[in-house]
Amino acid sequence: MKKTYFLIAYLCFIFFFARSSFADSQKTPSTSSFSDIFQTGLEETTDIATKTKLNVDDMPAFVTILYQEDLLRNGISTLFDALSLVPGVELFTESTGVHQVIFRGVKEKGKVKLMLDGIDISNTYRGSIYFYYDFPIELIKRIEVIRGPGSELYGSGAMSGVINIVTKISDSLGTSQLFGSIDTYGIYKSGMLYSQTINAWHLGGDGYYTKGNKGIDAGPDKAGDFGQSNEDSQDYSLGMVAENNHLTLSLRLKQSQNGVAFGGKNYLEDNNEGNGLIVRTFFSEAAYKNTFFSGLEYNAKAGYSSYAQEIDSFVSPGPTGNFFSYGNYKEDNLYAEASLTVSRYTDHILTTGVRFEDIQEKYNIFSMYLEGNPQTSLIPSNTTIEPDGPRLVTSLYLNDQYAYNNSIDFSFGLRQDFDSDADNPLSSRLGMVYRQNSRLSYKALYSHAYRVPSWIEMYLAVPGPFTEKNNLSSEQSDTVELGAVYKKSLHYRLGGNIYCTWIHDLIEYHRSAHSTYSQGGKNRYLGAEITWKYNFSENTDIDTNMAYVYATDSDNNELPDIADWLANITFSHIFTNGLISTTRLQLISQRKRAQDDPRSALDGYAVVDQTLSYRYKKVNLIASVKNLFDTDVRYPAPADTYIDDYPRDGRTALFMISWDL
Amino acid sequence: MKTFCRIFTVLFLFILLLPTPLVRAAGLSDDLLRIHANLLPKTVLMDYNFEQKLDGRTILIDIICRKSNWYYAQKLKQYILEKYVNGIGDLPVEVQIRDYADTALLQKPASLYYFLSAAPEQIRQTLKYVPDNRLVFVYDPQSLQYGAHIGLHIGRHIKPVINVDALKADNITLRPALVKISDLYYQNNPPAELVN
Repeated sequence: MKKTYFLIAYLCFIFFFARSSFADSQKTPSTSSFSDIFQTGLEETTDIATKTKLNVDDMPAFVTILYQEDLLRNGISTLFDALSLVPGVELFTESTGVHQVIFRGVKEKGKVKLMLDGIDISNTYRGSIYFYYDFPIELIKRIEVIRGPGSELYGSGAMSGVINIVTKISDSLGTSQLFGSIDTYGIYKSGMLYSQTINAWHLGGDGYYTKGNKGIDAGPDKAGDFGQSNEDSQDYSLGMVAENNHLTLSLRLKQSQNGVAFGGKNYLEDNNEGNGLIVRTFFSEAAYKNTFFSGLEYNAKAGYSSYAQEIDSFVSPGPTGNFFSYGNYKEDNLYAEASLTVSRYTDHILTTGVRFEDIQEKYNIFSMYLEGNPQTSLIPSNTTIEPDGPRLVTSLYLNDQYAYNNSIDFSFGLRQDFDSDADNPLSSRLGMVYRQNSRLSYKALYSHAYRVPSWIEMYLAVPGPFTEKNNLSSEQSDTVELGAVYKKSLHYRLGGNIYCTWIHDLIEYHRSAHSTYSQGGKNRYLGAEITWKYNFSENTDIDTNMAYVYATDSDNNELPDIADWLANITFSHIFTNGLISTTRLQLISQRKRAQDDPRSALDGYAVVDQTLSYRYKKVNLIASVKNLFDTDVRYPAPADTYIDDYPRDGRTALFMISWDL
Repeated sequence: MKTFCRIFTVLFLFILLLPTPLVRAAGLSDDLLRIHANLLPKTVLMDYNFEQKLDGRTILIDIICRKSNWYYAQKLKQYILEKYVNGIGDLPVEVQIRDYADTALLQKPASLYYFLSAAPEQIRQTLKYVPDNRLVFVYDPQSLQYGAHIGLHIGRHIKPVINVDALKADNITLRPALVKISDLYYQNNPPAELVN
């Protein structure tokens, strides 16, 4: 209750400042000298370059920026597909149809942070983010991806990567648009974006709806049966942004419903029974910023978010009928954050802040039943987890960017979290950029990151009464990265980096009579990434990346189910009539099996996508053929489940259209 | 799969080692256009004699582009007009878009010409038609070598790059405040990164 009062007071505080700042914004600026006007313009544009990551090569981080126009040219329609363009990122789908991204050989499972316009959308239940992977590219301005850790800035879970989606409606110069698409699996999508400026306020809204009945020939499953995967989907979202010079209000509602693909227990469904998995998320945030005086900026934000999931699906066949599971879970999250940025001393940009979070389980029901008898649970427990109470997190952080001279910058970050139901992890970061000249720069980074155990890891209560709290602490990681960027011009960029990551105190799932989690392993990931972009003729450019990872466990065995080589080559040509042709070649190497899996390694694959796009006045048309040569693409399945693994999309055609209003 | 990896590696290295062609393409960045939109009208004011180069009382900016970049030119125009909806001070801002091919249209002088990416020959030819004493701002600072006046270097901080020789040749005098914060470009001794 105290937290609620605190948040109400905090919001009042923000609105008080917002009102005063709104009044300020109406004042006509005083007459400035010409040089002041230009200098102010330069400062503003440096801010734009930093916010849009245009000058990211001069920053101590390894970042990939994916722009909407490039993604659409590649015929990419969702966030999940877009991430396959990031060096070192591999896509994966679980038996339940839940998507995962593997960053630098690290399976996601709460180790990747996903944010939408800077708002964290991960849940505490599992630390998952999959429910935003189907977010459409049409609503996205750009995707900023930090390859590597970022806990000192983004907290728990930012261990192997951080993804920030910047939506088009958050852009003060946004556009209004109608869009739609359909593919040969019958998945259709329609939506719109609206943006308007009224006085000092920028208002933006977006929405989309997508539905499809997708099935891929699969089998033999665990029972030796053949059939089609259930990848039916239905998804919608509504978002809104209102901002003026100081205040930003954001709201987003999203619901997704998905079939259980290859079955929760690796048995194919007969007739797509049950509703599958339904996830409903909502977030709202009020953010305020102001400059008290030159060189001192104050930022404050407060928000509420909720995550709810409902599962009603087929589990496995039984001797007297099919087993089904039903689950209903919801958590709420209230948070508030305040930070100060001091840039008064020209060599330093110092940011310090504090954040409070109050995460509560609202309800949690779970049962297993025989087909036709939903009221009769077959298990003694009627819940999946039993947390001790709300998770209260207080975080303190300090970051400094120090320009030692014109050639060398240092960055330093420190963050301490205090978790009410976990340990108090500390994360840190030390980085350096050395610019040898305006073409060539070198980077070196060290990061210590962490992931607080999710509730399912700490309080798993199925099957049977697992009310005892698992004795788990945070997973910790240490990463060392070295890299160089060579930017010959606006049209030629070559970057390369090597890294080594150690993840300690790994939390692992043990499937037994009483499934549970335990802690202890240590994995090591050694890798390299190369990116190269070149516009080598007036109308032709090539964008390519290659990544390698060598991942081993505590016993020095190579980790299963991950590709050690990944590569992308994208070749674009603009014809004189404005037609753009984009060819993409994606290479994934073979994936090794687990020690106890007798099957030979899963073959790698090479996939070619061909996309044509054409803009006529306000209409943009895109036609794409994915997997042009109908290559057999498979994601790895555990031993004793799908012996031939999980098949993925064959040749697929996609048509997209958008109309600027 | 190993074969694929080998092919890819060979292909990758082959392309990497290709000799640099003479022609550069236009990789147009929306964010960069926004940065330019912010600075273009202000750049006009940095010319000591800007008042003589106005269209009446209006700052007139001509965006010169290839047909294939018309969409980006329109975006830039939109960004400028949205940013300067009320002009600068009492000076309204107007923007026109022209094709590199329409050199005859340059006869109505603008306050500033903005060149989007194009082939070097196209830029060289069009520069000949720009009326005397008018600033030419370029999307790609490498185009300074053809005789344009000003571009931007995007690094940790954004810095203007000004072509001192071209300014002298075209008899344009910029305010010291701009010169002081800019990188200076000399035709005879250009920085390596601004040469093909």
